[in-house]
Amino acid sequence: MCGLCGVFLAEGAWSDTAVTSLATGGRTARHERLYRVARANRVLKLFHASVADWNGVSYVVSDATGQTEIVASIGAVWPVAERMCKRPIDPLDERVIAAMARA
Amino acid sequence: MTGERNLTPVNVLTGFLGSGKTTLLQRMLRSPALRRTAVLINEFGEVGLDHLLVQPVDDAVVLLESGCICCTIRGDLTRALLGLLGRRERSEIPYFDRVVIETTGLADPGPILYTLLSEPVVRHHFRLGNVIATVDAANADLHLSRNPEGIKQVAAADRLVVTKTDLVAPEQSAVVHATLARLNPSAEVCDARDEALDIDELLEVRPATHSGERSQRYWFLPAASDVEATGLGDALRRHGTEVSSLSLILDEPLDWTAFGIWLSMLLNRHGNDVLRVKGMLAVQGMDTPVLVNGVQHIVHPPQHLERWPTDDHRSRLVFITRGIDRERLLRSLEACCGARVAEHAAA
Repeated sequence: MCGLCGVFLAEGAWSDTAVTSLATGGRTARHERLYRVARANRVLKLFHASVADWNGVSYVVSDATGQTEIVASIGAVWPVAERMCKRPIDPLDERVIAAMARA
Repeated sequence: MTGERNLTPVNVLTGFLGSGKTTLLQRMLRSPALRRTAVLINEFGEVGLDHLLVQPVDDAVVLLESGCICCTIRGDLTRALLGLLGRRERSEIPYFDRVVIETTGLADPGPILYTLLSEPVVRHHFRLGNVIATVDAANADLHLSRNPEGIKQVAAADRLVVTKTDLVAPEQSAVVHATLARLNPSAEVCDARDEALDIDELLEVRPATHSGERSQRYWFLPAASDVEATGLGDALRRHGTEVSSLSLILDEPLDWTAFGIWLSMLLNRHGNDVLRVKGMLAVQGMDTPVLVNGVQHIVHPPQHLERWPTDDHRSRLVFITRGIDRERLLRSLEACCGARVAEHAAA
């Protein structure tokens, strides 16, 4: 637990584990984390939401109305963002596929 | 943190009611390599009888309390595993270096795997070995076409063992083998009657890299697209089981980050219907392959192999899905990961 803010240091999710255990095209762990945030935001911007890194240990999910929530892993971003924007974030949605193909 | 090598492997033995799990378990326990194996048995009914058959490890057999692992046993399973651990530490039972969980015939293996991979105390002492599912050749049609748990068991398996093939005609046995190969192209299909069946290989007793390479080499065989529709496959369709598999080959190395984001997004929305995803991936910036292995919402930690098992260094991915449009899944993967699918086979 972080002594200053009381946040539990979460166990790494499988996709986040890759930061330290997989080579990532020469990116450092910090760079990789920011790259992951940028890739997630490509999808989230379609839903007027976004995610940002929080001190290298968590992520902050926000929407256009100012709602904000901290999550532990990138996998935990999606249900929170869906709750905020009240829509499913579905990679099989044709609009998402079309937008991502253009990105 | 405890190193991977120091964790006690846990193999999950599943299969529908009466499909020969206990018979296979007894055979397994005769292997010298498994002489120090503890067994957890999850039984239906007030009196569990099957454990009486498991003589060689009698002291280390624990009968789980609940009849149904899929919805209630996670706490039981955790307590049972940690109970075994405590008894081993106190020398109350003979030392064991492996655990086999025999599930009920109606168990959804997902929550068992979830417990092993995510329960904080359990995962610091145990690691998931592999999942073995038995399929009764005489009743495969009935078991798989009418019971979603049977399909989940087959999809979650790393090894499929066809039992009771002596009770059916060779043609029917061949149909069952072919159908299982179509349903789960990433699993090796064995015949329980095969005298040469290597129990140690079945449980991946040997070092992980060796076994991993062998099993991965298996699904470098031609994709299952050339397996013609079978009677069992027709039965599955008749009963509305919209389960299908999709095998992909990608020419170019994958962007791991993009793939991870896409898969986490897919599992968040469709995890219940992605019965299995298994892949050996060529990842940008790496010379050796990475294994991904997921069952519904649960994804194992990615695993490195020390080398490619063959000269073909292209990524291979297998999806077993239920009611998901395969063509759309393929286009989504390409669009979200910047990948190009070179070959695909649907079954």
